[in-house]
Amino acid sequence: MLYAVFALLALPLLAGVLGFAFYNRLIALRNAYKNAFSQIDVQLKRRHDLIPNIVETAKGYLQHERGTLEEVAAARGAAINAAQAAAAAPGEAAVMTQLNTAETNLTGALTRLFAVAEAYPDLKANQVMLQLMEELTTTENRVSLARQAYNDSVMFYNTAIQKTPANIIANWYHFTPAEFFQIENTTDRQAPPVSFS
Amino acid sequence: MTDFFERQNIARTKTKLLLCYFLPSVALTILGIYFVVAFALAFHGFNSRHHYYLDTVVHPSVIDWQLLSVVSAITIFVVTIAALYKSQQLASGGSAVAAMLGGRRINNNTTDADERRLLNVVEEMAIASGVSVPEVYVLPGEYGINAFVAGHDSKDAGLGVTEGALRMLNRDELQAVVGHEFSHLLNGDMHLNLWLMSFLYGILFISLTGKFLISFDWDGDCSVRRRGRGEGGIILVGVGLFVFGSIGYFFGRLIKSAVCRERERLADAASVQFTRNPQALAGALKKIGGLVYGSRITGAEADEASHLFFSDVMPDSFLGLLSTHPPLDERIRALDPSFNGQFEHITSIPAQQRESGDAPPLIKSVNEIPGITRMPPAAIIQIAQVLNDRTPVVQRRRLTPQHLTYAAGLTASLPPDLSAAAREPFGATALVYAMLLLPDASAREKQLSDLGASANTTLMSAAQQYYSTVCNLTNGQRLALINLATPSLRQMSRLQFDDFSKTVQLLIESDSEISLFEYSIQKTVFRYLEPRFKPSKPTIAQYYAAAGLALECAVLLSALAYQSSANNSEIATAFQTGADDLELPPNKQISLLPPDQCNLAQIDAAVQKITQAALPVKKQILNACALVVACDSLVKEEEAEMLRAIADAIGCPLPPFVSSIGIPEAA
Repeated sequence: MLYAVFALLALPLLAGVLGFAFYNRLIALRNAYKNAFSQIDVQLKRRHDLIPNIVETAKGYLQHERGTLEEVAAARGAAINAAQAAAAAPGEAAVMTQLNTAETNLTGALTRLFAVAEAYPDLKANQVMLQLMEELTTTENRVSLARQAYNDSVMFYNTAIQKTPANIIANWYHFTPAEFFQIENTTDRQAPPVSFS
Repeated sequence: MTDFFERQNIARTKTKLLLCYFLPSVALTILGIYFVVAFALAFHGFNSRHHYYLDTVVHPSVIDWQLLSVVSAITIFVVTIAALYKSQQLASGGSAVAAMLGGRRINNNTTDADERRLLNVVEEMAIASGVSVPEVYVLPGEYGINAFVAGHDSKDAGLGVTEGALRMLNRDELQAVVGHEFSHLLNGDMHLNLWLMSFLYGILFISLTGKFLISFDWDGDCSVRRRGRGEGGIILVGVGLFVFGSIGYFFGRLIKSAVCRERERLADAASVQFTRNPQALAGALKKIGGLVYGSRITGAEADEASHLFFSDVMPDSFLGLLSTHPPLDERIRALDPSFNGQFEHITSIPAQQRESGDAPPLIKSVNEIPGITRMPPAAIIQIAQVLNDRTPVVQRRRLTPQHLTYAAGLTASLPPDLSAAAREPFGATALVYAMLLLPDASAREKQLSDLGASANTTLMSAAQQYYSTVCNLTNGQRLALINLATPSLRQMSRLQFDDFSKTVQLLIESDSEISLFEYSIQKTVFRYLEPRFKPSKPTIAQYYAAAGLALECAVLLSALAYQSSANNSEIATAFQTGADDLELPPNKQISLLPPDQCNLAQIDAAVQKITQAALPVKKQILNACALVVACDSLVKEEEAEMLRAIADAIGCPLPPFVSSIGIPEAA
């Protein structure tokens, strides 16, 4: 009889223990991707902070390219807003899509600015500009590494919440799939800048 | 006032004594359960033997050994299973616990002055003690002054402070609090706590089972209902389990709290040892006493983790017997005997006001620190003397204020772009690659071409950029950089980590000419990273005597001997000094190996095996290594740092060798 009682206890207990284990794992994975996003966030801020300096430096040389400069400034504003929204709720589909678009636009605008700048040798030789460009490249490298880390964590998390039996727990506790962060490289689709030198 | 070394010894002895109390408490719980079961069997016997069981209850001298052994086996089994489950849950690492408590990770390149200051304090403490920098968390919205450290051991630790502590303590007080937490880290208190909590949960589980038996709706189950007497028996067993389980749990908690209080006293004493500034720690404790919020933590999970914190998270409970920390004024009086028990009332200062006030962290530049910079030749001789005296080098693992000043100087001496790079994953990865690049230009070309397509080109070009600066660093600076870089490297994803390890492997295999130091660096990096990405069970000690590792010791000592000198007879003497220190049995004597028998692959295998040795054996081997290095009475800084790198690789980190370390310290 005593053994029967223990056996009776063991089953729900085992189920409960397993349930907890799965739940904890999901929580850990969710924390991992949220934490990974905070790394991107810092670097994005850095990138956004650099851009006004670049625009300011370029302004003196690019008198006739106001449109391009304004485009960069506008894209930066949108990107800052999107990044703030994303930092508040990393991984959420709506904000991440917004961030993806905003960052893609910003990258595109910057690419166009640099393509235009090719035609101004004075600007290209400006020491401040060179420094800023170097800084921007480093920051973008950092963003891309942090982005990769984030996307990997999102992938692990998304896979985990779809697998049985964790998906039952995920349903109960509303673990929703997270969205990737992808900056499309617009240069691939554009004609390469032509330089006559 | 007893001095802090003595206070630490008292605390250590008391802990051991308290842990012994657990045994009788478990035995009594089992005995209690036995009587309940016997009682239940006597009155609701399922077989003809119930009169016999009645006897065992009425005359306790008649003990049914068979029943007792069954009961103890089942109890121990259930307690063990429950404890294992809990330890699995708790072993999830420092970051998981910090996240559970609502912690926000402080970014390594934060711009907030207070956060930067905290990070600097933690980094200095980590470098001073020779462990990797833990991840640092802040508990936002907690205005009490408190701090915690969580995780398995120093490899996967998370250190957190409340927002109140971050904003309201000055730098010295913050350093004292961080020192207190580091004592927990270095003394393995987290491990002890994990063990205690799991065990307690096991006992608690007995009473939970009892509760379940009582409240279970037996009427719903027809088969049980038919046996009315059995049902009563089960409920009786339930009540018994609940009562004895609860009593056992209560006493377990009493013991655990007492153990925790001892560890807190130990940590307070150790913090003073690290900083030699009892007033700072007393100041922090006084601020807790004077603050309306005290050290309270409002988060829902705080109670469960109360033992992790710097000070009590809850108001006093049960005459202080169950509180996990000694009373505040007792702690302050131990540091400041003149304390009159009156706390000065202070009000919480909002964050914004502070921004303009207290100056941001100021690390003194190297030159401002008297005595300790890059070690002058005189200091080198001193180390040799220190190493030469026969006291085991590992016993000098004590952190002292000199270490802290040295660490502050060391971090300040790092080129700013490198330390900035070490604080985020991209730069940290590139730095590690840069350290593994070969000095010879053509060999470097070969390394890069061997990597081929598998390497991340942007990372490799960044590594090449850093190379020119990295190759000018001293070994001490390199180790400090590695310590700074590990928290950033932990930010990699698992896939990135796989890439990283593959690249490091390729960089090393491209040319076997890599130095022992660089090898050790690589070892250290992986020792700190692997628990994060490849969780494995903690290694269980396999070797309990150096004799079992004689060949491995020979490899390590020979390699070090060849490094220390070019002169053949000096090499032989150096090796022999180390070998003698191991005191191997006559049939296991070792002799100097030819250079080709102690190359990198063999060293790697040897280190791998030595990591599986018990701690005393590791210390013994390390001491022999130290003697080899010190034999020629001239320890170059590189040699000292290489010794540290090896120590770290075998899992027994040493603090840096500071010139004044050998001078007897006054309390």
